[in-house]
Amino acid sequence: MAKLSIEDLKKIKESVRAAVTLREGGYRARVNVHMGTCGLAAGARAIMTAVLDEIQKRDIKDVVVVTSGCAGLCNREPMITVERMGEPPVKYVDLTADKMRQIFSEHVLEGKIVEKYALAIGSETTF
Amino acid sequence: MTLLEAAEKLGLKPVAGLSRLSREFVQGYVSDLLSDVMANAKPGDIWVTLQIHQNIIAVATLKELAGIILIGGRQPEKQTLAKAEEEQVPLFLTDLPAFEVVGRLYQMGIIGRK
Amino acid sequence: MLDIVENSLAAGARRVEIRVEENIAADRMVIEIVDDGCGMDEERIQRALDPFFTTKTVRRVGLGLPLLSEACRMSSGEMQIQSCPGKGTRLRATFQHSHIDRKPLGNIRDTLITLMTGHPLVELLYEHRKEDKIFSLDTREIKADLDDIPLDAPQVVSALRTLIQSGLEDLGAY
Repeated sequence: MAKLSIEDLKKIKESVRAAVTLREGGYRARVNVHMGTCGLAAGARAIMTAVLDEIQKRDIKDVVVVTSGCAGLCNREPMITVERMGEPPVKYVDLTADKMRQIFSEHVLEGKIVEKYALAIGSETTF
Repeated sequence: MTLLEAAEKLGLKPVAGLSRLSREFVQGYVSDLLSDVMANAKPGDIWVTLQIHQNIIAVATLKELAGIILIGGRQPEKQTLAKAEEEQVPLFLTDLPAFEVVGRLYQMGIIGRK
Repeated sequence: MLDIVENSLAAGARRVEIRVEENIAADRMVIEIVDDGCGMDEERIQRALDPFFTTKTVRRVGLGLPLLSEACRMSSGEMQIQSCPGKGTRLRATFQHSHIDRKPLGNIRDTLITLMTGHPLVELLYEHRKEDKIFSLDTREIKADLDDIPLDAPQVVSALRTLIQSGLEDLGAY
């Protein structure tokens, strides 16, 4: 059974504790990558890889990435929904890995909605 | 061009979805991988394929395709025909190979991309 | 895998077990996905294979299972579903290993990372056998070692990515 080594665990615990003392608490934003059959066929995997890569590259600790099933807009996949804490959720459609990275740096991190890729700006927050 | 006009010009045999044959179409897609069609076909595309399973009707309705041309003399499965009729998805049969069908459609002005 | 597991999660699964077996001698590859979700009765199983059946309300077709079933058939294999209401579902997809139309397994590492980060509260077991070698990973055990650190913490994700990559490379699955 593959396990994280004692050394890995030690490094992780130290790193996480350091981060928690700096963070104000709570997450900054949530990114939901839609992964229904049509989304996966259209390339949702690459979108997921791109956002996880951005998080790792920039050492971001307060953005949550979740996945969900089909949202019903099968002709506009791949799609994501970005929700920053306290702000309305925004659906982005017809995505590529490059567009995802742009949305990440502009909207997720800085709060600037990338209107040319957005489908709709919601009116309810969920967290 | 309407589906009926294309069928007449190419000698395609309509076997389902007859109520929709007067619909116009301007683009097409050719592929036998359903996941590829789900990813890349556009609403309104005419789809050229050799696949005969009823999944093609589900994909055609999901992607709002104009219709399906089954090539190479292939016969749709019974369920495929039934579903095509139920969903009124235009389904055409031809003995022509895919390359010939697509080439001729292209010559008639049907394109593959915007 | 991502598509089928999404079904398991929609059925309320708290633990999903994915087993892959590559048996070159028997010329067979098997992918089995087992969940502890709400399960289905026999009638529902039959309907699940119909591309026009879906439990979703946002569309009229459900293609995940039909597409996998077709992929098996095109590789001279088959897909079987066993399920019991209240207990869970077992999906078994077999393929002729050497079949020219058998689709490649794809990037398992990224698939597993996607599942773990997207659903950190769900337990995931991945077990991959190739000939006489085996790679397996159980997030239940990983989480136990991490104490209260969440599975989707960036440092954890990074370490898991490396762990999975080297494990699969040792297996010869890459």
